[in-house]
Amino acid sequence: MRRYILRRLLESIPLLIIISALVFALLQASPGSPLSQLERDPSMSEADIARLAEQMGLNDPWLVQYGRWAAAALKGDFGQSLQTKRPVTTEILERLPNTLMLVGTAFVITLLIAIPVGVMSAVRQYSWFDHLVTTLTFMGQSIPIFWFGLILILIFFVWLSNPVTGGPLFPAGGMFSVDKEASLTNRLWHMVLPVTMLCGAWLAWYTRFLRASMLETLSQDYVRTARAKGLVENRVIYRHALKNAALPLITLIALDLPTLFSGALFTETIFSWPGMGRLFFQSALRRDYPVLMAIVMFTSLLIIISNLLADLAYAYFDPRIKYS
Amino acid sequence: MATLTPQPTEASSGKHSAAWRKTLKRFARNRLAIAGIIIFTLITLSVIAVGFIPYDPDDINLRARFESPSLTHPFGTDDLGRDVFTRVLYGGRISLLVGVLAMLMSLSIGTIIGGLAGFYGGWLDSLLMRFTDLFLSLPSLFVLIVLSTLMQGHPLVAAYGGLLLIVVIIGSLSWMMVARIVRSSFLSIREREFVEAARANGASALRMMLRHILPNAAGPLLVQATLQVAVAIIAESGLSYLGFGIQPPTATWGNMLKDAQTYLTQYPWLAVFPGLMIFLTVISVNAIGDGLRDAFDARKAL
Repeated sequence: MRRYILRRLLESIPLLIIISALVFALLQASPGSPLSQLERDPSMSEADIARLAEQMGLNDPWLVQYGRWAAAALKGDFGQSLQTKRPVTTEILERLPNTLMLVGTAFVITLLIAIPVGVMSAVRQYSWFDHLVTTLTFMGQSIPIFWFGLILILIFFVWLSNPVTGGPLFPAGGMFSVDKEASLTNRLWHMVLPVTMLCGAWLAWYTRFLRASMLETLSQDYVRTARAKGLVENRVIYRHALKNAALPLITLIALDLPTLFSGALFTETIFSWPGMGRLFFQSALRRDYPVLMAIVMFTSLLIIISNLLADLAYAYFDPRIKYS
Repeated sequence: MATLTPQPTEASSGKHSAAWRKTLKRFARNRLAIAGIIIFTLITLSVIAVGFIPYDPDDINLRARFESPSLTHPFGTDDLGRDVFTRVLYGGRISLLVGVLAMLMSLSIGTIIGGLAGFYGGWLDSLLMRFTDLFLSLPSLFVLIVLSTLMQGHPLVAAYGGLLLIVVIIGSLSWMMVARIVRSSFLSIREREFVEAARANGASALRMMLRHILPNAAGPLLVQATLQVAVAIIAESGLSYLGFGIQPPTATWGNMLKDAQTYLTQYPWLAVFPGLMIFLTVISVNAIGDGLRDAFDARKAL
């Protein structure tokens, strides 16, 4: 097992090097060099700028410049935001908790709903409940997520109103009400619609996936054996079948785990949630390439890590998989 | 050489048409898939037909701004008094075109990479699959946006609001599943007897791949091709919705939604119809894909 982990870790190093080189190449190709602002400064002569460029190493070979950038990046230094002039890492760390809170909540709620619903749907295959679940999840997989968000705003912000205050039922933007004290309830209030939007997309995939996996597991020999032994049906379903049926969920979770940190672009944009997704969107609008590339790099790293974790989890939980 | 076409191929292609007929029959029994075909055909026909009616999607009429849906304007009018119905149909042309072209591109890249990896195996296989892993490790939505902001305004890609650019970006970032599927089909089919027979008859590698293996991998490939259309349509509309896709005034469902969101509280129908069209298109394509998958999966149909 230890050798397997080590090998997988070593394998991901070239991947990271190539991705970081790609990111750096794109960064170099982007308009707006660090000196572009000085070029407009009348007190700077062309010779001054050339000297500065030489000092900053902008004339060095590409590989040297990449090496310098990568060494700094390894220490967590991704340069400055072109927009705010603050370190990119500071910008990112500021947004990270907000994204974690929003996406994490949606993730937990998704799993809490998808697992029992998927199991029920599979156990009562072809019942009205199963038909309802398959129809809804099929629709959920096809609905464009950003449109779903707009429809949520339309229903819960525009059309429905709060019977007590007469205002909108749920707020459609931000993390707090500007005019109120920042309290936990106020924040939860603001989380309802964006969390619903995120869950809407995820629920469809997770429920459908778990239903299919459960159906396959229920037809396995060991489930028949458990039943034949006279085990209580609930025990058969939840102890014997669900444990194995939930295993492939690891693949889906690994796919969505990076979102926990990198943010939900559409949701955060639509609901003005000050997280990583919105940071990326705003940086793209302003062509703030250092921030963009740092987020791309960071997210790629997360994807590689979560794939690694998924493989390790598989190897750990499923004794049929040989890790060699 | 052509006269020496090996016997087993003839036999296997004869067996094919029977298998294809059975698959088609299974597909035709799937009501959801047939409904998907009907809806998708209707959408396609209407976006083609709209070119023959005398309405211009960019016709501005400032006296008729924000009109509610009526008989003259079934989907109402927008902030410039343009007819939303006409724009939705013209937008559909772009969205479907991007969907199909990006699918063709991802299918070509994926088939070449997956096919070579599966057919030759060995170091070429590991190399190509590491390349695929590399693309799978990129956050595709983020990279789509970065590439689109970097390339925007480039004269080469400016035609039709950047349609070609969007097709190339989406196509080159969404071929990985195709490659994996083609590779695994090629891996198993290349061991079958009729491929052995072709090899023994001196068929070239290219002929074996195109004539003998690829047709036998058509089932899963067709299913994936359908899903790729849905993926590309969602990607294009998402990008255009954020403002990084097809640029106005060219209408697409995505950038119509972007404009509509400004007026969501007062004129909600502007947001309802373009979104509904994306939803209907994607759901019908997915229904076709699901139907095809079940039809090719003979075990399930038993």
